[in-house]
Amino acid sequence: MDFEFSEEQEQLRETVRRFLEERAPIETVRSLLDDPRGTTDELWKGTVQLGLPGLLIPEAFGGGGGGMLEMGVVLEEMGRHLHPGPYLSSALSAVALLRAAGTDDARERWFPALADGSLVATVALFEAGQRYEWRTPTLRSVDAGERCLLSGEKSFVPDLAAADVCFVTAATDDGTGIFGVECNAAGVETLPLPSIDGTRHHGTLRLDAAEARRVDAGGATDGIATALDFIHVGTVADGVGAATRAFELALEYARQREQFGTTIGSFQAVQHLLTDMLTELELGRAAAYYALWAADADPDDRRRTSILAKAFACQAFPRIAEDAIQIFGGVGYTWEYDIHLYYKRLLTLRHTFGGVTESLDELASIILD
Amino acid sequence: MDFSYPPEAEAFRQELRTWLDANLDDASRAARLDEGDPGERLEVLRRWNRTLADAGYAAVSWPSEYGGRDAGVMEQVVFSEEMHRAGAPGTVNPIGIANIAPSIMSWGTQEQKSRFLQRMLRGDDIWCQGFSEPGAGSDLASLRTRAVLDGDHYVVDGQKVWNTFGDIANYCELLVRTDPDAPKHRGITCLLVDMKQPGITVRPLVTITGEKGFSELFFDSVRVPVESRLGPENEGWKVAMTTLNNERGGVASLHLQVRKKIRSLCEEAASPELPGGPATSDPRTRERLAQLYLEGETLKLLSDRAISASVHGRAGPEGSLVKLVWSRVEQHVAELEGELFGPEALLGARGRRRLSARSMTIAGGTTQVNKNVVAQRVLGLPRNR
Ligand SMILES: Cc1cc2nc3c(=O)[nH]c(=O)nc-3n(C[C@H](O)[C@H](O)[C@H](O)COP(=O)(O)OP(=O)(O)OC[C@H]3O[C@@H](n4cnc5c(N)ncnc54)[C@H](O)[C@@H]3O)c2cc1C
Repeated sequence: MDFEFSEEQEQLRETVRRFLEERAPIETVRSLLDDPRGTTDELWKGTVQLGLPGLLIPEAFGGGGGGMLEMGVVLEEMGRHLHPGPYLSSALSAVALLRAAGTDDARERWFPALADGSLVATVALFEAGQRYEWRTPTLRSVDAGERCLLSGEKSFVPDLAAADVCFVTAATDDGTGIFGVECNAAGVETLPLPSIDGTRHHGTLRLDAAEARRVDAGGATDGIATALDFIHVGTVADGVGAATRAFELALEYARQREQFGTTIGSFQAVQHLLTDMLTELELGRAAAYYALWAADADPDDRRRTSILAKAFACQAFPRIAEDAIQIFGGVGYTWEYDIHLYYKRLLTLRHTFGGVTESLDELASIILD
Repeated sequence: MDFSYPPEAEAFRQELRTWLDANLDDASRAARLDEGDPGERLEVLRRWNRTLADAGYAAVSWPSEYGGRDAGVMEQVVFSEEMHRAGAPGTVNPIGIANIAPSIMSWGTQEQKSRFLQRMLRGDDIWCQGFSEPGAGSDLASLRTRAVLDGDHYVVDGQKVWNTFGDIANYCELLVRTDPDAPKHRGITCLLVDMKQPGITVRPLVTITGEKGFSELFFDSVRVPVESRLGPENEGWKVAMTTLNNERGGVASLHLQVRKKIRSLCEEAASPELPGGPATSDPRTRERLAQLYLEGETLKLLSDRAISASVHGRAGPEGSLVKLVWSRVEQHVAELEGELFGPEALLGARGRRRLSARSMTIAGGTTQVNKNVVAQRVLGLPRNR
């Protein structure tokens, strides 16, 4: 029973942690809160120098040939440091979608530039007013010879402002398809969609007969579902990092803040709250790490483990941050203290790519039907 | 990460499986169910215990010099999994083997070890743990049962309570106060007491299920020979801690039972025989079952992390959290079972299960005390009042 990360994986964690501590400390995160790109050329170049954007891409395409455990380590650190910017969208979501649903052609076209970080990509799966339903897009594609023309709107597209290319799901004559759209092409409009969480940026994508290139070979639904398994596990790994840090901040505060002549950490009500937070955190961590492992090592169990991790984290992790705010008291409610930033990050986890109801529904159909 | 088991553990699995196929009889398997005459059941279980002991399976974690098999963590896990899979009852002496024996091994004299361990292993003696008193539960160190030295005997007077197996045990690991003037942790001594001698009265207590569960023990001038003392005089608190740490350590496979209950609850929920028809078409019930399943699976993964931490020497909090989580999941299982069966939840075995789930957050240290321990030992927070 080896439920530990390997030495190499721990080294990767150290490297990423050092990079984020030095180059993207909390002041930098705060300075990017209102910037829809959420990153700077210099920061993105930094992740490229570490070989991170191509982590999951096979070596044949210039990538790192890593797996989800390595990806999880990187994302956990990014969550811990509230790292804004398009890393998860480009290095995980887009790559997972191409891998699970793309043709050889599509992979050859996009993988090399995604691997060397010269291209930033994201995925557009959801539409306004549809909650998390992705199986039946209303955005449509019309054949126009070699290429297709897309018209319609996508909502809650992560990191849209930072992306060069967006992989969009659309209704076609032969079911749901996936299309690559260049974000600066004619007929493409991108609008920021500022949410309460400034560490995660979303946008609205409006297409009006925009030229696009088909990515899949038909029948993309299963591939999209597989990509979502990977995306869930990745977002949960980010959540582990954010929730861990939120917990640590609350614990540090409880040790040092004094009231009634003693530290608040000596009050039993506070101690039990912290113990509950730790319990939920460790349960969620165990579920997340196992799902990271199973994503590559046990494909038959991937759907179950990823939705399990997602369903648990969506409920438990925001609650950890809520309890942390409670422990901070009044200062926890101020913009000045950082704890709210973790809460917001974890609310994004809870409310994007599927919510609690959807995750439990899916889990129920796995175990009951 | 690698979730495969080491080859030695898998080899042990094969060996044990073959042995169980050949040796586990229906009578022993059925004796685990709480039906039939308790006296007869005990005899069947004792016989099964002896079969286990002869094969070296009664206490696999014990050193081989005492009749165990020096099983490492992974072999212990395999042992629990295979016994569970086969539906085999364990030893008749769970408290003795898991909790009391480690104290005898680390504190006992040579004479005590050879006198007690072998008989405990075979189920010839059944042991109970006489710690709690009416005035000393969570605050165990305030216990007041007195022992006064009189020549080569201690004379014991006092009362113990909530004693599991008190009605069937013939030996007791007893905590007594030998120095009433010392600070409370320093005046305690541990005695290994023959329950059949004069002056000991055992009165079974009826639990909230209406059944006999645990007992009160009364000690009236009971003479215990000095050579029955375990460890030095007035160092009984340390001996007790060896016992309690083992009580808390053996929790890594608790998830096996509770996950089985969750699986059968899911099956029962889908059954057309359920009052009112299958509940799995009701979205709310589906969601609640999924939620319960989530609790069971995350408990298993937390336990696996605890096992991995101990195998790899990583200091992690997981092991201290398993009992807290497990007891909560057990209670949630009982609650959802009640919900599914409507008024029938009040009847028979179902009703009893609902009630007995309440003991899980009390026995073996309450949830609140457990949380104090985590806050102070794991999180390093100051003692609270
Ligand atoms: C089924 C069962 C089997 C048992 N078997 C045995 C046995 O074999 N041998 C044996 O010696 N004992 C046994 N016990 C006793 C068990 O160990 C005690 O019941 C337990 O330690 C609690 O003690 P208490 O009952 O006196 O409750 P108390 O200590 O009086 O606790 C009452 C309430 O106060 C809370 N409380 C107490 N102290 C604190 C604190 N510091 N901070 C916060 N809250 C606190 C508790 O959590 C609880 O809610 C058994 C109990 C049960 C239910």
